[in-house]
Amino acid sequence: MHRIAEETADKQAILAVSLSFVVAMFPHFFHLPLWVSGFALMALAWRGAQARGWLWAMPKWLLVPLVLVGGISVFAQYWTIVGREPGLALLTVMASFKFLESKTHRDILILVFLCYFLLATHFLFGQTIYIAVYMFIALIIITTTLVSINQRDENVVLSDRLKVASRLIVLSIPIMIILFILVPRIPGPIWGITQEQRGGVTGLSDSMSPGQISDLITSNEVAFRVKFDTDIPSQEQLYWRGPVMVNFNGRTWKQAKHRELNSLNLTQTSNPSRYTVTLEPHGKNWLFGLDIPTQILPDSYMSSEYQLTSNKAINDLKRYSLESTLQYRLEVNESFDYLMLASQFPDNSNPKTWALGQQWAEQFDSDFSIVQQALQMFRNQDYVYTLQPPLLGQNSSDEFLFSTRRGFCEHYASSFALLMRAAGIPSRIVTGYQGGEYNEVGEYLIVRQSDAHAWTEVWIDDLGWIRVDPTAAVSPDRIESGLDQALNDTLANFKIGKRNPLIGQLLYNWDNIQRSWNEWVLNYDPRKQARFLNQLGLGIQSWGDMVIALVICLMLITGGYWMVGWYRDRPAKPAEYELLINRLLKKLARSGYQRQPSEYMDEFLQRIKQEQRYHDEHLAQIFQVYNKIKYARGYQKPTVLKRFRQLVNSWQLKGDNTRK
Amino acid sequence: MLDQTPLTTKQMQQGIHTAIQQIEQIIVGKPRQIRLAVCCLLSSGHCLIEDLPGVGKTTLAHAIATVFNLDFNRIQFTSDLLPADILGVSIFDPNKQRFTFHPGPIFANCVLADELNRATPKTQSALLEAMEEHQVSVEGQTRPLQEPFFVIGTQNPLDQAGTFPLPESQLDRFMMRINLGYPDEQAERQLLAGESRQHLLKETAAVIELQAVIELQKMIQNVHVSESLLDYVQLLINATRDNSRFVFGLSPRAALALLKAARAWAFMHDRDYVEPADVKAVFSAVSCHRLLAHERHSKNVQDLVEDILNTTPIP
Repeated sequence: MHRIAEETADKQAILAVSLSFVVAMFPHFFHLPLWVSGFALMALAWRGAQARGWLWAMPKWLLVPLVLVGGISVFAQYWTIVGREPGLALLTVMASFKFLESKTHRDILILVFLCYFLLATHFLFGQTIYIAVYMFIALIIITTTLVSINQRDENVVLSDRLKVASRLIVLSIPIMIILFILVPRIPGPIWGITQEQRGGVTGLSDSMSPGQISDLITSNEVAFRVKFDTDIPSQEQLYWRGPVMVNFNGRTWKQAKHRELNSLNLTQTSNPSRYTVTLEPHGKNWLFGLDIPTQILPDSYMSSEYQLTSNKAINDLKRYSLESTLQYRLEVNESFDYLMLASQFPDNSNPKTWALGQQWAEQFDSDFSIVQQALQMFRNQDYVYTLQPPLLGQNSSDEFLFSTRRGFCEHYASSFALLMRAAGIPSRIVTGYQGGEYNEVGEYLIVRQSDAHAWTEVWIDDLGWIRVDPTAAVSPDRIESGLDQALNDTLANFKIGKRNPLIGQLLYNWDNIQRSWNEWVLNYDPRKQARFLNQLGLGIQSWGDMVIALVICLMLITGGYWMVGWYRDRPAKPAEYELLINRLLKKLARSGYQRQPSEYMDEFLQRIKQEQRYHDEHLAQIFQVYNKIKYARGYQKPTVLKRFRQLVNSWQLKGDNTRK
Repeated sequence: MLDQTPLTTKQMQQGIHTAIQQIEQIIVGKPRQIRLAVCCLLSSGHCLIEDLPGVGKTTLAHAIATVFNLDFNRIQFTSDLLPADILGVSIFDPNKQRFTFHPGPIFANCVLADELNRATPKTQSALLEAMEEHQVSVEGQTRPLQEPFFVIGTQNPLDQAGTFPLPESQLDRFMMRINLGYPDEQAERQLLAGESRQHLLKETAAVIELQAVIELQKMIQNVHVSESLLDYVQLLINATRDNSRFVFGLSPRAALALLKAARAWAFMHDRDYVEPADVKAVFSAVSCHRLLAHERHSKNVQDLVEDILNTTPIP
């Protein structure tokens, strides 16, 4: 054993472990600094060339300072070596040095185990089903390497080694599942490491300027999925309320400072909708609910703008159940300060908009009429709803309203809100999502980034904040049937069901699988675990119970495997032809013709012919066929066996010894 | 004469039968020994004949060589024989101004190594190595021997003065040992009454072409061996190891030789699969010379091996 560990690793082993390393690392290359990935690959290349004899081995006196330089470089990159990325970078650099240093069989083994470890770190970066599938394949490749470097028999070909590795992995799946179900869970993400701020996650932002949402629109990513306990409301009611923006600086809308809502005073005029949202991580704090949520979730609060906000950024998949009312009347007292903020119209911006608003304020005596007038204008004049609006300059609202007239929801919402402010009506922008696609396979709603939307709310005395969606005036289709109906000519259809029905069905199923993954794997927290174990009804409650159940299950599984192995290797039942011949030989023995165990059939036949004068052609024939079945190639066929059975069954002991 | 290749299995088997008949014309009364020797040739082994002088060892070797159209050389081993006398030597050729290799008598298809135990161990091992490797290294150069390469060694069991008997480990190189023994009365009469063997040999024609012998050797490797038969072979081999009859049991090499020989025997009996009968037929020829009985046994090796055959059940 010791000697094998000290043996020099051969070329194939180096190649195999290099491949495993690349496979284990591959997705990491996208989150590591370029120089780390580059260094790792160069180390592999060097070691490969060294194995082929093209390069010399890196000497120890050079390696030691290089390792120091590597460590310092990682520190210089992040100014720490603690944390997810710095830790991974350090691990990668050190593993690369291990490659350069590797000589013996033991080194290679260490590298293989490093590969396993590196593979596990992918879950710190993402826990999607894609990553899981990739890791599963990578696991088989690394295990094949492990099998190969320990397999000294050259005759065991790669496909056999792959088979061994795959079987090992497949056999370990039940154990994996048991461990997953029964190992006591810790609340919250593991090591709190995914709390780090995510970059590049798509989603709504906390400000809005022209063109921002239409970037989102082109993204097919899922924002959240909703499962309704009550009936699903119709499309035009599906306003998913997100960040509310009231500060306007002439070009960009921003959120105001949050004030917590003390009490929610509203009059419901319809039955509440109850639903569960599974929100994909988006790195910000807000949660989405149907306009307007009537519940406050734990660890979150509702702002005075009825915006649900989590206390922590949503960096992991978040699941929450909510209740909303779709038809409602809100309390009608709003603070004076806030209304002032909602009436703000920056000086020397958008003068034409200002003028039009002022004109309407004089022309109409009720705020309602002004709102109607504005919607009328959008509806009757040639305003176009398009995803490719012309670029707007400094006075975006003026340009949009009076010259380009082509825009998207944010253009309409923004201009409308400004017009209202010019006419003296306080207004604000609400961003969020509108609509959603029903997945009939899983009976839930998929809301994508492409459903991102912006609408407005205006303050009418005695009525409070009222939702007005100017986009609906321009393009009712956008609200009633969703985005691609409104844009049926331009962008690709995102909605699954609109495509080829077969592909649509497949995609619905796939989305449903992802949802189940979210629900059953990623969201398997202590609460869910307790509920699941409770449903099993085995009385598993405490950690102690779980550990006992774990031990019992693992024993059952390994015991089961052992039994299967034993059953496979059990001595084979004698074949039918052996039983037939044994019966026949017994019959002969009873009549005094005893075959010696060491005699082959012809020998036996010869002996009883010579010594006992028993001559039997039929018996000779039986023995001949028996020999063929037992020793020749290709005689164990049903037809031959049948003929043999007939031969044996029709045989009878010769009554009188036939004498010549 | 069978010379066009490829031949069908049937033709090949027919050819072997004819060849054996031809040899039986010359060596009378020894059908079993002849078949064993032919079996040995067909399974690419070498054969050791241990018997008294004058019982027809040389004639048997000669007859086999003639019938299978093999190149025949005879080496008479003496105590002063040197390896170079067998393998060959380079001699300076003054005309061409360089050394030319003069191949020794071992460069033949069939080599009769007569009275092997008379030569020194050094010379013996030169031959034995050539038998194993099918090639010789002379003066740093490796030269392949002719194929097929078949050595018939003879030993005189008596007359031990000034001889170097081969140890069991060396005897292992021979696939079989065959005892000829005296012919029976009838055969001896035939021998005495008939023509001179030398004359008969000259008249005998080749039956199988050299190329066909190589073909045969390949064909025999494909004779089927079933799992049940392997069970039986292992039982036999274990029987030589387990019990206290022998100082040491049969080696894996011996087991392989046994299977090879059984394959050839099955082929010679018109079958493409091996039966226990084949194993039994060749077992004592293959194993006797590799085994050494404990001294306390009154029986000789031959009888002990027969005991094993008679007590090992066929699974």
